[in-house]
Amino acid sequence: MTAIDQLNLLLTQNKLWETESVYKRNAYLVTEGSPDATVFFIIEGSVRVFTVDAEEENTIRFGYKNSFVTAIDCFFTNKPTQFYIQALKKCTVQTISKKKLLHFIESDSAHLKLWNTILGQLILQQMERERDLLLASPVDRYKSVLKRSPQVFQEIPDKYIASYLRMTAETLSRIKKS
Amino acid sequence: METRQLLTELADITRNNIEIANSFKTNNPKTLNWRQSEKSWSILECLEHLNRYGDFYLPELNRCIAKARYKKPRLFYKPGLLGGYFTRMMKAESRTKIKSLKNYNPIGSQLGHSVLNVFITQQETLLLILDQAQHVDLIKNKTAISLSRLIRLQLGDTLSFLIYHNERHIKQASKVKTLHLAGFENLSGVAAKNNSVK
Repeated sequence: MTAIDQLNLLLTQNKLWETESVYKRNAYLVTEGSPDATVFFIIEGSVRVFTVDAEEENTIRFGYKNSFVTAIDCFFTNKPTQFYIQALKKCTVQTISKKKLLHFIESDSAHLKLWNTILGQLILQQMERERDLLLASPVDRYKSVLKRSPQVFQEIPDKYIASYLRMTAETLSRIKKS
Repeated sequence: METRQLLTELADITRNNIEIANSFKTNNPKTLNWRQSEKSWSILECLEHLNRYGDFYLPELNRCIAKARYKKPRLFYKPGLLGGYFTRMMKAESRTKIKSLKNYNPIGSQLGHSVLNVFITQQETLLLILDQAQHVDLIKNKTAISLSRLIRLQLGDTLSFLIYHNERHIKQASKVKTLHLAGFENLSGVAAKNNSVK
């Protein structure tokens, strides 16, 4: 069982989830400037995380069924977030506040161990992403993500994948055909 | 549900599983090792899968009861959130296949008749465990699960989901036997229903 699954089950078993909500397609779970460090667990659906720079949207991450998402900058700094988290299709999520989550994590050294495992996985994922972005060729970037996370291509609309891969939609379409 | 009723039900299912396993002893190795398709399990594979779970859970159940902190049995039993969910999944009529963890997926392994004997012995141990379980609190005493050391389930739920899991795969094995024997029926002309396992 993955560390994420275990954390989800432990939170469920201990009745720590605070709300369960449904977000319509394109609705926002988090918007820029929000000081809220709520942690979401996606029960159904998928989301994208993006920033806006000079009116351009940069999709930097996706969240799928059975994963956690949160405004990670706000979670670690307690400052208002730069991120938007948007539902890409109708989503059902459960939420827990950062405070309640950390209290649970800190209540038992076994929980702390689990949390460290999850954080370690997160760091590794960020490292892989960083390496991907440094690949000069769009084809290489495409291939790397296809190998690492094939579910991106099954669940996410192409225009967001293109932004994530840092290429135009046309380039992505060309690469997919070849 | 009354605890007594739960334990009786679980014991009845276990005794039935023993009976079916005994009936498999009369089949030849060809039948016991026959698979319907490349990825589906043979009768022996079904039972080997159960034996592997038994290898984990029987010692854990024995440990839990022997070291039980809460020795006052309850009149009524209520499943826990997670345990109830796992049990319902095992009972479900649905054909959804849950992917087995690699350690517990016996496909391709070399299997012989001993698998049947191990299974039957495990069920007999389980009957003893069920008997001892009447003397402890099935809710407050918890066991570990095979998938995670962190998650603990009510003793009653572990017993339930384990035994319904056994039943599920025994039923699967019975179907495999029926399918295989039905394949031969066309040659011998004997009606399939005479050979199907109840």
